[in-house]
Amino acid sequence: MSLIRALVRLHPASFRERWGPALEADARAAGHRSWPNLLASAVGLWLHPVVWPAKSPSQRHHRAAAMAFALTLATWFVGRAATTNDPRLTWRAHRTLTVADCAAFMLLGAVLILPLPRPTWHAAATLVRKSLRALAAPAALGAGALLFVRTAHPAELSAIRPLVTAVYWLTLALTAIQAARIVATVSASAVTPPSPARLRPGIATLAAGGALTAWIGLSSTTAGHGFDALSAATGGCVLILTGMFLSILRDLNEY
Amino acid sequence: MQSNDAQTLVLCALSKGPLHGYAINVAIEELTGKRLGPGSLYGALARLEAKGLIELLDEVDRARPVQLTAQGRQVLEQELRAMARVADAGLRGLGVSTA
Repeated sequence: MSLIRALVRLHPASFRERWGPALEADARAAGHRSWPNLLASAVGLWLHPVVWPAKSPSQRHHRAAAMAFALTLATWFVGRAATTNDPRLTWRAHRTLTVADCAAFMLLGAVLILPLPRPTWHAAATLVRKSLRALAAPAALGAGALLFVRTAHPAELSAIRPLVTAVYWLTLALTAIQAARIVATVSASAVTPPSPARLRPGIATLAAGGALTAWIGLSSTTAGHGFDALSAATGGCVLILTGMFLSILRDLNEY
Repeated sequence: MQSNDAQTLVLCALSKGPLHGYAINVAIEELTGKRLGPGSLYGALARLEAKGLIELLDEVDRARPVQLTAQGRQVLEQELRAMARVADAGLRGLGVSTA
């Protein structure tokens, strides 16, 4: 496969179906100078799923919801990793707010943006089947690790503690990825995409929760003794994710 | 023109009638002396279609031309009038004839 074809294949499927052959032909005509431009357009399109060719406005809303849900899981994962490894973020250093409080606030936003299952047996069966298939691997991995921790000899356990920790984080990451995939790929016959009236306040809530988490992270960098790089990295990451929430909100207003 | 430079250029190129992607880029080159990168061009087409400012026509010789919608014509006219007002004010400020 040529590099140009590979770069075209990085674009979202619905965009490729509509514009792929023409994009590839023009990129071939432009030669290697088009490579950075193709890469930038692929990244730009993945960050703005609302603009992909769609059959209906509700398909655009579903994509916005799926993107916002994926960002919510990413924010949760970053927050969870940071609070596990950095005690400063779990302190009530800000008196009224912790990362856990922000996560609870974001849960409210996530509930607002999630597509609702249709009240039919077909929809319920589709969702259960899809969830079981998608979450089987991370569930098996997590259950295996848990079983090992409960039954292993303490000496044996301390020897492979890093491996167990790695499996724990891998399980969490896989669960988050698969949950995001379920929401993104579930068919319109099984769920009703959220209306803009639900999506906008939901995404605004998520952005506010993200901004508060970023603020906690960034302001914790100098809260203890000296500069804390992990708090700074957490705050920076969540700030970027917050910007992405706001970008979906802007797309919803524009398209 | 701001962040939607590429979109405005595509709308301008389509003002004379339907064109396919490559022909749009040739028209933009005639207008500005420079072509858009293929990713920028087709990204702009996707965004304009999502806004309902352009529509796809049936395939002709393995290429799909696009044309402005009524809303697209209206938006382009408003954009060009705003740009003309800014250009006119700037040129008058510089003491340059706009004729």
